[in-house]
Amino acid sequence: MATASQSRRVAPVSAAVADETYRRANAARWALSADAFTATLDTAVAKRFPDGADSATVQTFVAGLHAEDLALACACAHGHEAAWDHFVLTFRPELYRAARAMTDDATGRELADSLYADLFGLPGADGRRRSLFAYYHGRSKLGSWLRSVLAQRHVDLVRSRRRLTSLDDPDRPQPEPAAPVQAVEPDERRRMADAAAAIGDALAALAPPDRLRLAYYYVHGLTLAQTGKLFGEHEATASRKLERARKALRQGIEAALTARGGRVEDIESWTAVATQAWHQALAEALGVEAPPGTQAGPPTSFKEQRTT
Amino acid sequence: MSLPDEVVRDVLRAANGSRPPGPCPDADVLALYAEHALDAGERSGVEAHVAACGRCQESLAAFVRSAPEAATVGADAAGVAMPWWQGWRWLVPMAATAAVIVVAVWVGQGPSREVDRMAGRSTSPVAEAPVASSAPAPRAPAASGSASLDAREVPAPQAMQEGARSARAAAESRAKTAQLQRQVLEDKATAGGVATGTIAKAERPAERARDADAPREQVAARADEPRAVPPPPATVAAAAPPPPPPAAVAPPPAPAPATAAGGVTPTFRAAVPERRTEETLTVTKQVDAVEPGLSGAALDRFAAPATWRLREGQVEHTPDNGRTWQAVRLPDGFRPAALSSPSPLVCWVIGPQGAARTIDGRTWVRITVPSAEPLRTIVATDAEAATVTTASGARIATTDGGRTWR
Repeated sequence: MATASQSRRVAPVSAAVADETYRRANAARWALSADAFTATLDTAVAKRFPDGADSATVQTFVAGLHAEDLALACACAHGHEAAWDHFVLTFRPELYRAARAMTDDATGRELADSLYADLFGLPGADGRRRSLFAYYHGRSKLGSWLRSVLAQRHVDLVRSRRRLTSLDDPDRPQPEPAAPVQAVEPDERRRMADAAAAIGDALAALAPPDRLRLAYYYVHGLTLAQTGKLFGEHEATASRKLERARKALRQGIEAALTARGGRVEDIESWTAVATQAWHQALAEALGVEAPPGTQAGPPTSFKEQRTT
Repeated sequence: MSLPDEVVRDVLRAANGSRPPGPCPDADVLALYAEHALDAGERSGVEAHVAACGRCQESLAAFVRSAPEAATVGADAAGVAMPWWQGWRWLVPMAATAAVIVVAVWVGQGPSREVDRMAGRSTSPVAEAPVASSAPAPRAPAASGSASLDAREVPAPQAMQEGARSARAAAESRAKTAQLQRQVLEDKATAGGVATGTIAKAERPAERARDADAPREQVAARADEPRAVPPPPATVAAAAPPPPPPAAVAPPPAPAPATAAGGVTPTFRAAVPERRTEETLTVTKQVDAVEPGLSGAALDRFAAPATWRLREGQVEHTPDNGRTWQAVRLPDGFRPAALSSPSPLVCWVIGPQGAARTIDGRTWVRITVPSAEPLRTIVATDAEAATVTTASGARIATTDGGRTWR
């Protein structure tokens, strides 16, 4: 009787498909063995179809891979010099350029060097080199994959620096003494809760693309052209859809607020109050310091009311 | 009334703190998503996650900021190749209206012919007045602030021809702009005397600061200026040291130093003659390297159709490629002195009170410029990036829509 894992097994890449892909990739120029390349193909297929796939699907998938890039990455992972020379000439300048564009300062060079070192890999305890190229599976272009890895590393670095500040840092902002807790009228608490809930409902009702448009433009500071690029749109189209998303957000907040008996005229002040309450509640839930700009003042609707 | 930008930003930031559905996609999938190479099912799943994940949004933002500059003929600033029919989109409502006219005339002739036949009159076709004059013009989806596709009176055939000519001119202008952009890219790559122009550019701090936000491409070199001949690729290959041995922990060797021929930073000037008039002060592109002492009046421009102009102290906007101009209402008390428009919907204006900007062609926002001196010129590359020059020649730039300046 077949086990569950056997029933979900992915059809292996057939020898014919592997040979054809090997030729298409021109992998022989890097002195890459056919077995090593076939193993890379199998890994890519298993990653894409963790729940299994038939032969035809696998064949179609393999035919759509960036075979030359995959062969180069595989050869680099195995330490073939000719492949590394080609990678250095072709991709490293672009890597440095992309890193500088992301960071806009000297840390870009460090970021690129760090990635480059991980791509080259260091030998592990068993003596085998562990290269970051092992995580490239050929679905995207190698250049795009490198930029994506770089972007994620850059973001993780920035986010970790946001959360951590050195105790020895003389510029570290000193925590302000907590403001005295003020009693909040029940009506005011209810209005704050209504505003926060209305905003949450409005955001949840936004279609993901609209929510993303607003986030790209207002939170992450992308230009209309860059926002359009992420959606495959012209800048004018991006501008038009962004405006539409703004209107949809406001209408959603108004509708949700009105449904709770709130006043639309107070929407802006309530939205600001609600976001402060949101930050505070989120910080408390996560057990971290509230982001700068939020107040530790009046208790939110998520806390017990305290009296001085 | 619209929500203030700050409120929208805070609301979205707060929402990004919520737990997104599923784990973050790996770099491969993220790259495919950013380049629209995922199938519909996979894309919707990734998009649902990204819409609620601050980390993935930041990664995608960094990804798009690091995109190579577009060099495709007909591509727009976003690097998205415009479909061939994009410049003729205005024909769609007109074609539909023309079809209505034809059908109406044909149908109208039927009953009149029948009546005439019954009355014993001639059944020659009667020239009827076009019905479309009273029919509402079909409303094409109009960009905010863009009046070119707004609901208007149905234009006469002559106007259609004029519109076709202006659309062709606009398309030709875009193609010329893209060609000039490619020219600049090639010149940049060769001017430094190395095969890889990107390394040469990155070694110049001033240019790196300007290029930080993927600016629009610069003006092409003059045709009569001698260009540095690039060395053969073998030169670069010989200069690149071999990769470090496996046991080495040292970082990879630095690339070959890049300096321009003779150590002189190349400057670029417009390949097209200056077209400044007393009335038109629209600057549509940023100069890559302005020679010291060059006045704002000699800033280069592309031969792109201007949609904004400053005339007799009044900012004006054209919704119809220059046929008519409409005065624009600026923030109260703002007296414009110069403007820069990097795209039809975006316009930056400077004056004694500072600066103002619109990104949708309609709504103007006042922007504070940290300068005690009068502002002389402004050059904007997109909705977020602009550089102003003060009376003393100092240059102050912003890359975030005027929130911060340096």
